[in-house]
Amino acid sequence: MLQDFGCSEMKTRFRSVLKQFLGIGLLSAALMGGSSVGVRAAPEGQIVIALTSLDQKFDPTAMASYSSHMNYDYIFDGLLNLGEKGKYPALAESWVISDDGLTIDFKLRENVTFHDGSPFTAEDVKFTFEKILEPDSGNSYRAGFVKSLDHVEVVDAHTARFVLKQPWPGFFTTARYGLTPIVSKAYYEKVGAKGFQEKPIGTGPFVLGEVVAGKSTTFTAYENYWDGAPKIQSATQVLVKEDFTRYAMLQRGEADIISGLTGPLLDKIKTNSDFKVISAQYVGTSGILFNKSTFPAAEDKRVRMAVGYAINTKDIAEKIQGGICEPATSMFTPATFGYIDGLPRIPYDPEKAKALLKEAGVKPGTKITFTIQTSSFAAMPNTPQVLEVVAGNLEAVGFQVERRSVDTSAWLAMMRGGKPTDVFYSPISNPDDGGEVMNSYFVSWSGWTAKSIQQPKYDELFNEQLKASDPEKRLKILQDFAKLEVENREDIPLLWCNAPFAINKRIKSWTPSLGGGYPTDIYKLELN
Amino acid sequence: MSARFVLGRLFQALLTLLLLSVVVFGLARMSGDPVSLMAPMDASHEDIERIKASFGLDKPLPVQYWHFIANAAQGDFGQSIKWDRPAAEMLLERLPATFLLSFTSIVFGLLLALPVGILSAVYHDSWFDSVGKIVALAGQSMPTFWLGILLILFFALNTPIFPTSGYGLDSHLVLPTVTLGLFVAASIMRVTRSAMLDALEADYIRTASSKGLPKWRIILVHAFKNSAIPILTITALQMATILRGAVVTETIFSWPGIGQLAIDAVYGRDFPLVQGAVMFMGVIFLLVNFVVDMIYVLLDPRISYVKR
Repeated sequence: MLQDFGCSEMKTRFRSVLKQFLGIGLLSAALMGGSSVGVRAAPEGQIVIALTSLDQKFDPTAMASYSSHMNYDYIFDGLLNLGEKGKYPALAESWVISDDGLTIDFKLRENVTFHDGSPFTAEDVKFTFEKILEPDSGNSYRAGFVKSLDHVEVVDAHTARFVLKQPWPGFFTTARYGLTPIVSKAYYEKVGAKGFQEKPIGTGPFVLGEVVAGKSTTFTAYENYWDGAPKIQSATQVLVKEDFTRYAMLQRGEADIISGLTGPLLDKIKTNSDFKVISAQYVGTSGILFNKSTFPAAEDKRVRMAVGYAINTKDIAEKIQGGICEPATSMFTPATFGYIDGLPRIPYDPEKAKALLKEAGVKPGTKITFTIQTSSFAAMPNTPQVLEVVAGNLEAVGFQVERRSVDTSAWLAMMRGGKPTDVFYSPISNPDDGGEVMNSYFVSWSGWTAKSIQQPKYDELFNEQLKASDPEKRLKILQDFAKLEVENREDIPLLWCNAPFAINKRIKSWTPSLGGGYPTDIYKLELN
Repeated sequence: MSARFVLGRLFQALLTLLLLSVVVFGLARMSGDPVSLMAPMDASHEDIERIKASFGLDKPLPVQYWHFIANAAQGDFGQSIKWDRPAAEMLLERLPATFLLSFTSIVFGLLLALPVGILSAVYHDSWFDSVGKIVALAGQSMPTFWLGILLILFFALNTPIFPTSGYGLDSHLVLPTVTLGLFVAASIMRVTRSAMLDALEADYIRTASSKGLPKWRIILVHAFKNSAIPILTITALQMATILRGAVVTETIFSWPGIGQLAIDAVYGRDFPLVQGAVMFMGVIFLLVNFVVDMIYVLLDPRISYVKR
């Protein structure tokens, strides 16, 4: 076209026009950015926590998902609380269990007030637990309460008596029971379920502040907290899905704590001296299970062991998980009630795996289906990458692996439907109680194993521990199960994982609670 | 433009929305449900059913669909399962953020694409044209999630001019706007260039030129006005790109718009919110299309929707 207009004068004109355009562009960029360049400096005493997922349900009597504990930890206390060393007496100062194990008298802490200033009493304990027992309760953990708890009696203002249907030793070792957040009866009855969700009141170290639906939740310090007022003024949880953005926010000081550190991000953070990685210990455990109805060869222990020898858990723990996970010896972690030290790990030995498969008559090229879960949850970070390596490991010993990719929701639908793949992964988040771990995967009626584990002895031990109100005796039963499982290897242990958080230099000290999985115990956090 | 045309269009739009509602309703339910996702592993079947019932998920699918569509017609998309708030209310709250980002992105895109496109056509095969082509190629082939991360890296970390993410200040708008705008600009730039090339070769341009009209008047008034239809079409099409790109861009920059809300809702199988978000976007897109059809008539009197 230049030729058509054919003039060199145009070229000069063009340059000047170009300059003008560029000028306008730069000017507008400057105008847009220039007015308020720079980030709000983090205000004194306030912290921002950038999270991969947010939960904005605040009514513990209607707990649908355990993830709501990421809020309860701020607003409420349970009879027990979770600290860096595990569960400790909180609203209950002490308790007495009757000889038959069927009543528990809780001595409640005095001089504790709810956020509205009203005193905490046994009436509130009764109200909270009995609300969960109600048939129309929205609490999806209700079944476990109904099985053991009959009702609660108010002995006096500061003594609550649990009247049980059967002994309930798991109450003290299982977060979902012992940590049940106590709500104020008078307030709940006044405002109703809807009002409570909007403005919940507890005895915890923080009061719920501003809630921006689906975006952020702010908690502000409750000065009269019985265990000492928080050392910060407020904490804001912000939903930031993108990994790199969370990293950048931490770098810029827009966030003080970030969660969801995946492989490459974790490496980057570890090499940056401005950050520190702090882990909540033993947040998850995982193993590999077999669907014996579609993969009958797995009835043979040699086949299951071959899978164990095939998987390079050490490499996975170091290279993919960056050391935040370690190879497991059993589905019980060192923080699980029932754990026993010194159980053997299955070493990585692909040659032995091949030999075992040959012995068991499983030919090279045998086809198996295997689930790759495309999203991770607390039990194991980097789940898709780990499972992809496991699939590769299985291929290396001769299996032909057909991968089925599912996201969490599809995975749960598959598992609940009782139709897992031939070989599948068995994660447990917050495996704090051995009885609960057994209940998930090892009892014959478990809905999660496609009924593949049928060990009458396991069922027997499970029922026994359920009623063993003497903790020592119960520990022994669970340890017996753990030892027995090493002999049977129904489930090939994979990894024990921690939940890593990165913090910046503003934070002087902070220790999340054991097995917490979310940034917890924020009231003890100190700033520089 | 007749009333008949408008009515016809309206009917088409309603039909499209109805189809869309069936698709989103069906797809959402094909891969799991929100209660299974929230409930613990050992929750009993009865507990799960009871909680499902509390969200109305126990009813037969046709009944659920009827509830959805009957209420949606009145602007009620139900209660978000995850956030426990009315879905329509949450979407309306987030609409301004998405509108703002879409508007600045399309303006940025046009400001970049039109001048470069026109100049590339006028000086085609020059070095400027080559640079323009490279910019267009890069803009089109760089995924927004990658460009977004690069921008954060360069302009929020290495040279800390803008905040990494968030909402509220003018400066928060810059990086997402550039991310989304550059992607949009690429297509508009290419179409502008080729439409202008065609127009500049037309007879009336030679006539105008031989009449001695100023060159830039010929380019900007005579040629540009006649290339406006394809440019307008591609710009309108880019509105869909923007709505789609917003899902990714908003997620990267934690921009509190509809896209960010939608992606979270999909992962959580928050049916009411997913349905609401998709229907919202559908309505917006249909409206944009409708307005563009109207503008065609204004731009080119030869186009008429009246049957003669």
